[in-house]
Amino acid sequence: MSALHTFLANYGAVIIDETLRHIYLTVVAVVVACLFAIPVGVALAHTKRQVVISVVLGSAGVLQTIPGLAMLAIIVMIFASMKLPTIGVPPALIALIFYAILPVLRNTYTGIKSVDTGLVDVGMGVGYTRWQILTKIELPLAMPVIMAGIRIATVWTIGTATLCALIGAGGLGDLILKGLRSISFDYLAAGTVPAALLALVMDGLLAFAELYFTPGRIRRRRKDYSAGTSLTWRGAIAIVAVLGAAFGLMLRNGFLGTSRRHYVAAFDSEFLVRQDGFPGLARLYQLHLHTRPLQMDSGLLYQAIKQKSVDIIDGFATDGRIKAYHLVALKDNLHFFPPYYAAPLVRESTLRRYPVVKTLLDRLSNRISDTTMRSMNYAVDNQGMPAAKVARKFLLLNHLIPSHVIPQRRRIGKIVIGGKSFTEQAVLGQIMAQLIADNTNLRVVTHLTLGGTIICFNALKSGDIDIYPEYTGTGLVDILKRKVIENPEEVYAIDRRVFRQRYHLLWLKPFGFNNTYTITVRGTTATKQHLTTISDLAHLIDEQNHTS
Amino acid sequence: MITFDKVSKSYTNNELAVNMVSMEIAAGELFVLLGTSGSGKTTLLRMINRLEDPTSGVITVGGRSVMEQDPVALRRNIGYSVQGTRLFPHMTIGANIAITPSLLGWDNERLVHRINELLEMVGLEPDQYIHRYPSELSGGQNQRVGVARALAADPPVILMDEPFGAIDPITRDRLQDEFLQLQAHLKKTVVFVTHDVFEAFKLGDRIAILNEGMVQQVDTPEMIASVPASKFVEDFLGHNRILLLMQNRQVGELQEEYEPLVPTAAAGFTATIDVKDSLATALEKFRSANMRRLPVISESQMLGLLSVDTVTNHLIPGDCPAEGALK
Repeated sequence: MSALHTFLANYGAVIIDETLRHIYLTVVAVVVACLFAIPVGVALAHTKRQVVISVVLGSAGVLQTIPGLAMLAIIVMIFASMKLPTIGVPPALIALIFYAILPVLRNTYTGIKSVDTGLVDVGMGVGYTRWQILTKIELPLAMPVIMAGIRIATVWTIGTATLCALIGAGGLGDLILKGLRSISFDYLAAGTVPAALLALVMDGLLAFAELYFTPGRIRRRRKDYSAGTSLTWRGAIAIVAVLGAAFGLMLRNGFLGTSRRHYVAAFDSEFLVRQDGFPGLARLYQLHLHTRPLQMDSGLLYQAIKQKSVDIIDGFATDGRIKAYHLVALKDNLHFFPPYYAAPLVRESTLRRYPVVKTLLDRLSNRISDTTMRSMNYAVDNQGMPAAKVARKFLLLNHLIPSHVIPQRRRIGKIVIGGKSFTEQAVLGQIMAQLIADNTNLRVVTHLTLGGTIICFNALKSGDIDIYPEYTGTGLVDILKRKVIENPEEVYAIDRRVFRQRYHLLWLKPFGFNNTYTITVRGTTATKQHLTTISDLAHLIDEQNHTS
Repeated sequence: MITFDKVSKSYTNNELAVNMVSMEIAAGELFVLLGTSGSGKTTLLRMINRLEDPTSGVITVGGRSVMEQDPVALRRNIGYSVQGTRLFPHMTIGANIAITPSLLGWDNERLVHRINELLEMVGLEPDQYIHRYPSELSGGQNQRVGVARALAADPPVILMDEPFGAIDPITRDRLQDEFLQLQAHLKKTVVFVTHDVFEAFKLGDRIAILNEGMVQQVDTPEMIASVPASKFVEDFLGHNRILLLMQNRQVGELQEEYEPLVPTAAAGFTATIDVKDSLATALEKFRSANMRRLPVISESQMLGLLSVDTVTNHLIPGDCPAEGALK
């Protein structure tokens, strides 16, 4: 009981917040889908052209077979090509709407088709107009089937909406992603349980609405027989009210991007939960953001700030896009972030079995400067070069692998190299992998898109991978949960000692560059507002809060 | 009231569903369209309220061509009732009945009054049935509501497409009787489609017999049964003809052939025949009383004696031996 109490005390507010957002996404998506699908379904049920019916229902069916994640990706790409905002609520809503259309469309069509044609005939006979036959006979009689479609669409949308957290639309998926990134059961539960409950509750509410809106299901002693407002009109009024409310909410939350007076921040899910991430940063610098920072995949952050969808993001010092997109990394004047020197983190047992690996990896020591790393990241992120090719180029340039073509050889043994799912890790992983593969007979396997720090670290501990590139500060603060230390040598020494004792993992020599987290804003913002440090930003945000 | 002038209707396959039909239906008449399925009787009916439009020819209702009238307005002035009633399952009995008058803009007070009046008229207790749904009523009760719905806006013309078709024979008989009583004082112009010869002969003031879209004969039931206009009509009635004749002739028609009543002979009769009985009923009474003569009464007054031979002679005119037809 007390465990539940603590849980709710810690997560209650955020659960309510994300649940509301989830409801908002779901309701708007389903209502808009209905506004499209019901009229189209009605039209289809009345057309005699079989071709039109096949084409429309068929293409809606195809739309449904696209996996939710792919749908999201496709919408983001289409939006990007149209220079529309690729992150946040609009693209998420579009994807969800596409998803919700089919069940409603199909059920509307089937429902209307299944109405006894004799009743329609009698409806004409008693003097109804075509429109009255639709609204007073066909739609009411098809209502149970249509409502069933809406219920399916709603439950699906609640599930699919968890994916929208990937593009900063928020919702319960935010919590689930955080749970996955930090292997935190609490976060996972905080996202999953409300999502499941939400599906049940919405389904129940709709079942009740179905009972209420389907004439004849609840006994009502009718008093007024004159031709007044029908159920259909009341339904239409309700829909307009819901949409109006949703639109109001959108305006209030600045989803439409109109005259935003407060800075909006977006961070990747790992930064939002890490010790050396946003929570500590906000505490130290007294950052009082007006709205909770959005969460989105790290790859989308730069796109979002470039498009001015957001104003503040977390960046990496070695990310090529900071310069390319004319962004400015604010100075960490209060020294919140520890040094993040990257180095291979290896299992002791692996080195005992294959000592050559240490010899080879030590050759990378101090070979990669900040500039080198940045240009390699840039080559992948902005010039579309594969990480493997960038890595090869680096190794050849530094004469770390033979330049001639290496003949096929029999491979013995196996080394598994891991990496977190962002560009730099992919490049470093490839460098290590090719270095070992081209200089030994070892078979090298790579897993370079593992979720995040905790996932990589656990995989290394359990022996699923042998090596992955880690950052000294991350080891100190995020894994060992120690306080921030400024001196890089000291950090490295502690990491080396404790990891070896506690986990039998070895920190090899650092690559040479320091990839610290940075708080990043647009260059124009920095110039206009005279921002150079994170403290400057905190003051500016306070001023914004005061003037509003 | 309703006229058809060289009306034809063909569908896409070019076959004529209705072929050059011309006839007139008088105001206040219960006019039956009788024929097998595919004879065009339903098509003919549906062209009156423009659920279908004729390919050629002119139909008038109340002197105006239907094609010149707005179909929706036209239908609101014509009652419509079909087989299986087709009450709207999502509306209460009251709401079903109220449809057409509410579409005509009646206010609620008038509607409620009318619903109550109609439910009473068709023999359903208003308070008990007005808020029920069709699924809660029996087939016969629903049929009465169907008739009430057709009568709701008090239209001068009512179209009925086999309204008693899907009901058991006993209930159907009762509904037919009730409908005849209703019609006796409402005097609507009713066009009634059926494939049931007995129903047609029981209800119809006049009957039009249709085959393959063409009218074979239009006449009163008696005339059709006595003098079929064609071989088709004769075959169509078949061995039912004698039965139809017996059912459609009343004892009163034989008044001139009554035998005088001998007061001393009055004793010993175990049954009497009413002057309004059909010949079929009279014959049944002869049979069950096992007598060849029975007294005819009208409002408890004896008019004379009727003999079996008089009846059979009447049914089978000509040279047939008097004792031949019935034993």
